[in-house]
Amino acid sequence: MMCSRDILVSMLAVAIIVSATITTEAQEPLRTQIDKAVSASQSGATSAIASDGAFMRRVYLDLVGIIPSAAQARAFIDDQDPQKRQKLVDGLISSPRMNRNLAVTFDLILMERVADSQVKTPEWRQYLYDSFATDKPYNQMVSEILLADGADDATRVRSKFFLERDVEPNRMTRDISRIFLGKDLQCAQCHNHPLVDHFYQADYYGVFAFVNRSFLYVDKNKKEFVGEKSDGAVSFKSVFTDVAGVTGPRLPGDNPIAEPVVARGEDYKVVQTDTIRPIPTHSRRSLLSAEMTSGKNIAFNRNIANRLWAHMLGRGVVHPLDMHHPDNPPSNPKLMDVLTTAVVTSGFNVKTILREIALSETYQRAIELADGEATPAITAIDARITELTAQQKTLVESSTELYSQWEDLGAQIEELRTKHAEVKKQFDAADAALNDAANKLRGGQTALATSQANLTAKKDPFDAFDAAAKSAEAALAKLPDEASIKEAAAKFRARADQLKPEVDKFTAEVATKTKELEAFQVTYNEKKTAFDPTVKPWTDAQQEIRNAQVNRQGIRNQYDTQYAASRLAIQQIAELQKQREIAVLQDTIASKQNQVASLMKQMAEAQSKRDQLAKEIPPVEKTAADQKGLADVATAEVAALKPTLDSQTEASKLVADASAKAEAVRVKLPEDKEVIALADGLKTRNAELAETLKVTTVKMTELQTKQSAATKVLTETQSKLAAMKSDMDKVTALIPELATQKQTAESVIATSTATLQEKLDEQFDVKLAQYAVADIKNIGPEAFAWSLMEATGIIDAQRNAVVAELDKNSPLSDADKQDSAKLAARDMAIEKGVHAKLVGVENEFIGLYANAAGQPQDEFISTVDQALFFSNGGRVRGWLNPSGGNLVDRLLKTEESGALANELYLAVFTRYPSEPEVARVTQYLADRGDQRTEAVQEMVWALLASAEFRFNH
Amino acid sequence: MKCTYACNSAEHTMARRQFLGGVLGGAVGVVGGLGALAQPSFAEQLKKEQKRVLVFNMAGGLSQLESWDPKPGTDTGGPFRAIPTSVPGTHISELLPKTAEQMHHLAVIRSINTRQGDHGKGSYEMFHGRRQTPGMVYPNIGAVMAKALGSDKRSLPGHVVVSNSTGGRGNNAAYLGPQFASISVGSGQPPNNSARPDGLEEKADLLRNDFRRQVNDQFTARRRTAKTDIYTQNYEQAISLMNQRDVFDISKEPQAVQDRYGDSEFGKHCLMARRLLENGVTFVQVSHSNYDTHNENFNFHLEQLGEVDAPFSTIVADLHERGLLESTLIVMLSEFGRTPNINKYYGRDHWGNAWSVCLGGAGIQPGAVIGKTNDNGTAVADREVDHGHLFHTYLRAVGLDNKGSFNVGGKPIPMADPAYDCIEELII
Repeated sequence: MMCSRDILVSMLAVAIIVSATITTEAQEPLRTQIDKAVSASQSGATSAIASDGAFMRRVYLDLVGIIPSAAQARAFIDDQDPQKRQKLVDGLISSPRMNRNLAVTFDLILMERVADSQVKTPEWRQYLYDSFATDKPYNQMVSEILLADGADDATRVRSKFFLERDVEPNRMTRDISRIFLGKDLQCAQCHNHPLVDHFYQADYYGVFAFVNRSFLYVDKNKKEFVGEKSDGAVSFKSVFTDVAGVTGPRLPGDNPIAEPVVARGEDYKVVQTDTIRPIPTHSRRSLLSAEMTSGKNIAFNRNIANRLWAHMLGRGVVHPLDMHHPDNPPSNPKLMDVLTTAVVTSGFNVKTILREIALSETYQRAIELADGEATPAITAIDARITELTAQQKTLVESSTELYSQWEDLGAQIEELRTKHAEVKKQFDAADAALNDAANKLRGGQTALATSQANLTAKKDPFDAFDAAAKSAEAALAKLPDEASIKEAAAKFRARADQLKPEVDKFTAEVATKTKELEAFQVTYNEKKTAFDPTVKPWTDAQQEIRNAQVNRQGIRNQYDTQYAASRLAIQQIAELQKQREIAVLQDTIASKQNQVASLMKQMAEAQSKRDQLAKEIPPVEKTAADQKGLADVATAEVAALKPTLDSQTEASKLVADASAKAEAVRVKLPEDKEVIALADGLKTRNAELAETLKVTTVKMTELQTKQSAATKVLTETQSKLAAMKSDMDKVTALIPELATQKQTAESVIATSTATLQEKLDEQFDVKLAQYAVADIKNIGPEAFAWSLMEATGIIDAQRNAVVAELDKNSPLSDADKQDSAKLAARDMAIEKGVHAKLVGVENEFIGLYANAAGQPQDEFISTVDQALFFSNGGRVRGWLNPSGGNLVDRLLKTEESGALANELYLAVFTRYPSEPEVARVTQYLADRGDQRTEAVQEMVWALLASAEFRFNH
Repeated sequence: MKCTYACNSAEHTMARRQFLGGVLGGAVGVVGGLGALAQPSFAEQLKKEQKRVLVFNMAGGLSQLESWDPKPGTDTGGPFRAIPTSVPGTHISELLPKTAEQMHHLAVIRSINTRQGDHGKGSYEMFHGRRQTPGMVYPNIGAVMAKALGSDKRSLPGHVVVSNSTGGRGNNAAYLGPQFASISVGSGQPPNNSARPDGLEEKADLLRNDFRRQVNDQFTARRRTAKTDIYTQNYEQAISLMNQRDVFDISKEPQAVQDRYGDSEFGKHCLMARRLLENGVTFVQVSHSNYDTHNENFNFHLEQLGEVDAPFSTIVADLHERGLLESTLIVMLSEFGRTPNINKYYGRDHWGNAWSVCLGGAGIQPGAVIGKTNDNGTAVADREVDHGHLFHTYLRAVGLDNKGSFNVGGKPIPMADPAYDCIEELII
């Protein structure tokens, strides 16, 4: 256990160092920090920087909510200034339409097209417009919205956020959490979030406690306001586990807040009547505003940073945008930190942040990846997986330990509550008694005021009549015979007497009520005296509980951080494993490709060997045949000589034998001449025969040698031939075998390539999340309507009319035209005039193209009825009628088809057409023959109806 | 750690691929203006693959005692008799004689206790399977079915309310998106903007759409996403729909068929519903009102159900004969039933504590009777269920995973209230 705590400590140290680094890096422009953070998280290919036209269209749609006109597009694309992108962004940021677009964007984030009931959308958008036009910090704007109660007519528009939600505490809790804190806590209303472990019911009710005292106050004229009461405790119970809890106001991730104890009777700044909403002395809604918008609430700061980023890039660093929680960590924590820090240091200046994002390389990427994905080596991936797996394991261990600590501390807090139950009981009793007394005191005050008012209503005329009567009576005393005076005195007296009983009655009532009030005051003072001493023990007890809660919250925040880190590690491991699969597939494909290459080489070699053998074998066969002939001849010669040799050998042997025997006789008969002669004769014959035999034998030997040589040559040739034929057989068999191997390898390549493509498609989603390639974004109904009108040239005509009107009614002098403030004011007036003339068209598009009221408005909505409207409806067709310099009119006046194509593509797609596109336009015009108007209308319609126009890319 | 994000998951990719396979295959078929649905095999394929839902909303609160759960001869029973049906042992009110002959295709749940006597809340609960919660809006049954059964792949709208006026888009799809919200279609009126405007020749329309496709192809070759696919596909679906305008015209039916459905508005709506269903519309709702019979309950039911009996039994029989009943779920529901107690105006009042729903077709045991009430219908006696169980049962009946979730912008949201489950014994 100590071990994992040690790890925890070292991790915290790391975390602190990391955040310190962020601060020192803040000197760099945000755009550089963004690009660094993004490139640090990427591996492999990224996309190139988008073309000028693509960049221009994108930045127009994102910043000012409309595409540029053909003339603007032409000027920008043709401009050679290397600084032109920055100049364009700066121009847009300071343009009136920027405020218009931000007003729409924030209206949709805040109100989600909920139907107007108390505050009309145009007025509300005007408030947002003015806020952005004056560079009001975002946190200040939110604070204004949270604090507004609708009572002040000048600022009533700000109360729309609450009023249109009927000041219903659950709706407010949900939308404050989702919209301002990026945490959808809805399902935690009844129980801990069923699908997300980390959304605790206590978080939901912590936010709920800020708003549960607020309510929809309706005055006697049926006008609605945001009222707030001074009391209302929050407790909750899970529908699944029966686990119950109590909570004070607390933002998710933050500590519980120490609230002042306000004595009853002093708890309202404004007491509720039937004409005025109540304001408590201690307002929890004010507390919410202070806590959330101070710049210190991480969730609030991150949420706006993430939303601004998502507005520009189409995807949050945390995505979905309202799912900031440990189970869904930012895809790039460094980027999230960089953006959040920048939002705070910019003073929550929305335009500053959007400008920097627009100027980053990350924002300016093209929508397609560059070719040639370079994947890291498998060993490197494996090493990283091992490293991350170890980290993840450590994080799980330490966070598990933290979790059990967190649970233990929960039990401790319950013990503290039990311990202080008596103190709470005493406080509650004293508070209830004081409340009762305070209510009676207020009742007494109201009653006295009513009586006093009644008395005044009677006493004033009585006093007047009485005084008049007295004067008349005095006059009558002097002039007793004056009939008119007598009559006047009598009449005045009569009227005074008539009023007298009521005056007396109300005087008595005032006296009674005064006494009663005094009694109420006495009771109240008594209760207050009894109440006062209960405050400190209860405050102290709460402080003790809160200290424990703060401690526990600290543990939970550590847990959340570590848990989020472990989730991120798991995601990264999964991504690496995908990358590994890709690498393995790429390796497989490469090795199989090598194999195929080698097999093809082998096949070529085998083929050439077979060809060679096919050439070489026939001559050898012929040689072998020749050799066989020679050997056969030699063998025949040997065979032919053999009988001669045999007979000669036989004869020689016989003669030699006879000669030997004759010699033996001669030895015995040395003198016998006959014997001698015979012996000599035999001897000679023997010698002759021996000589003949010798010759024959030599001949035989020669023949045999010759035969042997011929046979040897023959054998050699035959064995050579056999070897060649065997080689031939082998080579012949090898070629199809190699072909089969090649086929197998090629089919592995084919399947691996298909799988690789799938994996790369999946990888593309990762690339999108890493911002290595630009996403395709939705164009909202408003921007779509305005862009259509810009493309078709409808706006131009209106703008000309507005300018003419302004020039006529309030012309600018030559001096004015040098005054940048006056020019800016003129720009604003022109934009306002054009907007007023065409804003009605927006509603038609909202009806068809927007998501349902109350649903997130950044969703892409596409339906068949939109396509029917766009194809057959009167609105779009009307825009395509040639008139007054609109697009179709301009195109019809352009003779040359290349120039026509240029104007068409610049107006609709903010780019020049490619050669094939020009050719297609030319062809279309030619095919439609004399129906040139129709041809132009059809082409403009086709481009406007295409995906390239419908999306922001 | 249980939380898995469905965004970018294999499931998502799979669905996208199926979509591309299914729809873009169809898109090739429609190039040049030929409707995908003109393929002769479509009806056959439809029978096998596509599940559909037909809901009859008996607005105001149909009396269970004068329909599915009669109690003749009791203090609560009222004047009408119970008659035998085509299912031995099952009796329903004599006000529905023709329906009685179709009961072997249908089933009845007699043990519903929704504890709800408010029209608005009751209707919300029956159509959403959940109680209303502040700050949370759920899609209704039509939107859920249209989405879950993939109606966005077809050219006709997936969620149709047959009504007296044409063109309106309901706000009932919540987070599923307006493409699944109801389109109101009146008798014989095709959707708005579905006719080619004057001055645009058919040939010119074909040419401009071909040009549009070429321009699209060039862009999507650079980058193609589920969104660009849906957007470009919607134009092809629009062209198909323009070629299917006759579907919305019941006068195209033979006179004999029109006669069987009768001349009443409800009869015409039923015939329209049948034409829509057999042409691939996923969810059709037909309403009949008003059953809020605080006065003269018996005369009203005699009259109202007299109008319902023939067309309702005809559409059940027609769908069966055409082989579509086994893939079409039929539900006849109300926001609640009516009190067993008969008030002094011969009326019955709001009552959610023991009432009935009739359903049948896809996935439902034909002839089944689920649960029962006590002898005079004042309480559920067996197998108590409420709107939550019913909603799960509808989903399961059409082959969906009733415990499954929708992926809403990366967040899983259960299709039906996770605190309930389906009525298992009713499912085939």
